[in-house]
Amino acid sequence: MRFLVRRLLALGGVLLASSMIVFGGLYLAPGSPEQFLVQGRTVSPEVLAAIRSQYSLDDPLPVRYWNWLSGVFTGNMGRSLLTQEDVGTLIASRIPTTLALAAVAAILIIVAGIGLGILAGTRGGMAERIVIFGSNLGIAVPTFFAALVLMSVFSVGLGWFPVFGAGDDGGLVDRVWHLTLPALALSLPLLLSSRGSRGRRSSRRANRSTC
Amino acid sequence: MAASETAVLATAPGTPAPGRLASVRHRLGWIGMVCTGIVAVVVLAALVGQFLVPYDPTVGSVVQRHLGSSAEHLLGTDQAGRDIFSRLIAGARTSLVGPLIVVVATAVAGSMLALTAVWFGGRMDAFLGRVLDVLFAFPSLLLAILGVAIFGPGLVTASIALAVAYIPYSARVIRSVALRERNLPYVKAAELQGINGFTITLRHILPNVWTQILTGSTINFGYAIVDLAALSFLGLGIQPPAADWGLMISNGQESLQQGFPEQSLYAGLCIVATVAAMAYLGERLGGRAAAGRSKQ
Amino acid sequence: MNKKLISAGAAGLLLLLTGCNGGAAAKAPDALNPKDLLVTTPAAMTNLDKIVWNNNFGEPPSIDPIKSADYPASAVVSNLCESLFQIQPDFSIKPNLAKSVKNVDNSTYIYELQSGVTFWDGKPMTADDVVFSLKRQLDPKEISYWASDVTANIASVDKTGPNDVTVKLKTPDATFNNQLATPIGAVVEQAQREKAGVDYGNPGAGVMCTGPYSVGEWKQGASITLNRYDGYWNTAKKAKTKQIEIQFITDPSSIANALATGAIDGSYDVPLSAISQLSKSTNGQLFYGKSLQNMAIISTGTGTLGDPAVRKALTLATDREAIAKTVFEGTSTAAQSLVPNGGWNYSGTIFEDARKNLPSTTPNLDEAKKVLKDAKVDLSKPIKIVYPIDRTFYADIISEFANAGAKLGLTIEPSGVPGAQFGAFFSDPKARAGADAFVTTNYMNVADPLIHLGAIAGPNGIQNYSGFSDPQITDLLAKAKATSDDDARAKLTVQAEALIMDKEPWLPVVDSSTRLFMSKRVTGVPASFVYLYYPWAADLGGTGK
Repeated sequence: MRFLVRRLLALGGVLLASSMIVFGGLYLAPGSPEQFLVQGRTVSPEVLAAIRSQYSLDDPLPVRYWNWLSGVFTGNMGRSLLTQEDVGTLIASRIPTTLALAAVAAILIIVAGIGLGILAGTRGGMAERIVIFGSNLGIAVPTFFAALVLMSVFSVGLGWFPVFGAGDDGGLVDRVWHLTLPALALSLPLLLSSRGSRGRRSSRRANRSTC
Repeated sequence: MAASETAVLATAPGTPAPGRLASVRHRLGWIGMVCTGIVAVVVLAALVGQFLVPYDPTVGSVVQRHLGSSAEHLLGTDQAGRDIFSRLIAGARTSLVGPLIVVVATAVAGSMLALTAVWFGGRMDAFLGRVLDVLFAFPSLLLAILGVAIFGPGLVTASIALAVAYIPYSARVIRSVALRERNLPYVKAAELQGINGFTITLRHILPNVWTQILTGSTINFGYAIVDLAALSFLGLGIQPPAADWGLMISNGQESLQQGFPEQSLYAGLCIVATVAAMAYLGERLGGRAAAGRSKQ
Repeated sequence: MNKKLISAGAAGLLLLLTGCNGGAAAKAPDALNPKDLLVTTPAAMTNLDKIVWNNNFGEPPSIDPIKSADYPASAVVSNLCESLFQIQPDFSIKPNLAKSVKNVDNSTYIYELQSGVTFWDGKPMTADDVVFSLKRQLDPKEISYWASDVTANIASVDKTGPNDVTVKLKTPDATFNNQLATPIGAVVEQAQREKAGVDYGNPGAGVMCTGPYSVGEWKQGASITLNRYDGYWNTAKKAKTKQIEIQFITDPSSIANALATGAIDGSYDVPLSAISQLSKSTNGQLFYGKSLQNMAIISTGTGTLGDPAVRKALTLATDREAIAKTVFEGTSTAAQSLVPNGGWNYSGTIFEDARKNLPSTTPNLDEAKKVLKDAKVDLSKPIKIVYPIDRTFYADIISEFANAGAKLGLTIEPSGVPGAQFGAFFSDPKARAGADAFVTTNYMNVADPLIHLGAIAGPNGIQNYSGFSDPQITDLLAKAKATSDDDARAKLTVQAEALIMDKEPWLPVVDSSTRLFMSKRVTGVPASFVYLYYPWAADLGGTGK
């Protein structure tokens, strides 16, 4: 029990530190939110001042961080500068597609990964070597390059898969059909490198693909 | 890196005696031989490629865009009329220098963190563990974007951001190996003799985790190539007109759509071949090193 | 061994990839003659239930008209919210929500409002709504992206009759009514604006306007559906299609594929990289329309390029015709002026004739070297030209300028910045510090060269990024602004144009055409560049095929 509490406290500390780093990083980044908001329009200083006060940009950094943090704990994650929308709503609207994509990719990895593992394990010799070589190839194919090739070949060339959309109008089949290629591109490096020694790497990859 | 360089050195100088070659082939297998060849070619291109390229890889004119392959332009020209072959050769350098920065920075910082944590143990270990957790919490791409937003895009920024993302992984692994050494009787004995911790760590623990650091670095090198290429692809790494494989894949996307896939394709294949070769070699060498150690 | 392996694999992949794109690339269209550019497409023959369109520029950040100041929002909002005046496909400007206007001395305008106009909720549009809407431009708390020297010139807005609104200006402005064809003149319902609060214009609260379409389902990150407003006041221009679903796809290859496969019925300004693929499409047709867009390089007024002689020499030496032919796939023409060719809706012959006296677009290295001798700056300092890194074609254009610069002994350094930071170059002088120039794809809001030149080279111009100021030019622009007669105003404007092009505050690169693709199923929208402020979707219907 005490262990659990300590771990939870540690987790809280990690999250707090991470959020400070990101918040502070954004503060350090060149360019200012109000300039980003007006997107290339030359506007009067009064308008810029109005934006600064609307977003409380003139408050000192700790105050802004505290405002944000207390907002998060009361369920108010703030508003997107880009869409003028509640960040919670924005994130919620993207969750279903993200989860579906991750699920399809995970299924691909498990099914094909186990299949290849069994193949390599039971056949040995040449099959094993090919799987090992393939796994190295898998790490080597950048996800963005795989996506480019998959789309060129299977969507545009052969027309087997759709070129855009997440299939959120249709049923499950439509959804899977829309997500197959992106999931394949995501899982290719993991799927081919799903042997034990790659565990830590896989987690790094999975980590990366969430953003 | 160091490990694969050893492999290169083993085959590169001149034409070795048939007997030696056969033994190398036996050790690496034919796939290993091919991989060694690929790495050798890439390293050579990175070192002396700039003297061999037929054209300035950064100069071209749109008037000569999308030329097919010919005797003049071996692999044709890109959308800005630059010679693709020259750009591939020149791109080998940036494609290796960036990862080198990543790997060295990761190895140095990772082992320092790990050895500090292991030697002092207790609170220090717990504290550094939390620091690593914070780093773990960041996807490498987010770190890179943050870094680039603050310091501006470029090879060095991207490499350092990536190194920061790699450090926790590397530190964790090194820590676990170092911890085993730390608990061995001879270290305890040295400690009792009053030898200071810094010396013991440097003299006794570091040499024993050295293999782990090298193997990790070799594997990291391959990942760093891919990850840096991804950053260049997103426009966060190397900037045009400089030549870089990731950048070339990105630049070639529109040409690909227009029916000129050469640029993206060749650059992509260069990355795939290089990384696959390094990963394979890294694994062979790392695997044998590990096997060798367990036999002791 | 390894080499063989690579080349075999490469050949296979190459075959697969090229096979997908229908073999060898199609030739880009031959150089366009600006005179052949279209204004409209064949009129719609049938009414349709639903058409899927794509907004290549992406999702609108907001649909509040005073916040729609760029492609993503404007191309959607143009169908929703109407202004007092309206730009037509031939670039002429007609009264719209204003039925007529009485002009007293170019500084007092009395607008009689159109009767029978209702908002989508059925409530009638009143003079109070109009006064409220115009005053939003002046209220800093409303954060209008259209607040500028034009709105700052407004002295008062008053309801002067049940159906009359009077605007008084501080200084005379003959172009003011043309400005009201943009969202400066947009009318929204006061009650709904006040009720919506900070959510106004976003997917939650939306807007309440009078246009031929109202806002339907807005799927964030994916699409927005426009529903026909059946109570639309202008019965002659009632929308032909019940629902328009506008997708927000921005990836060039996805757009090209969606159009080629018929997944999407049409799109304005299709990506350049899609031209060769789409020109061969059997699914639909590409149209090249008259445009008000051009591409230019904006001098910050500092550094080596801060010297007008260097700017002129560089423009003269660069083969901009080659850029138009290659980078722009032949869909653009080299630009002679900062006013896009054909960018006028009055006194056409005066503007056209003036072009004969402007420098030709044929590269002329000898002349460029001669001009460069007048330069007073240190020519050895590199010229840093900034562009957004997500747009690679800018890098190719800058590299062409660099080639020309090299011939003149000038060093040009392209400098990419992330897209999100690039916007600051237009709005923040601090961001511009250290750069010689930055690129722009620019457009005239309305086809009035005077407004455009005033914005670029006028002392308080909204697009004057270098503090450019020349007493003679300022004087001519002010005189023209106070002149009611079109031809007299045009003559003053072309005088100013000649002087401005002698200084080149911006380096003109190319004049664009509007690249429109429609499937065989649909037709009717304007081919010209009016989709930002004209309700183009209302004209969209079926071909009957």
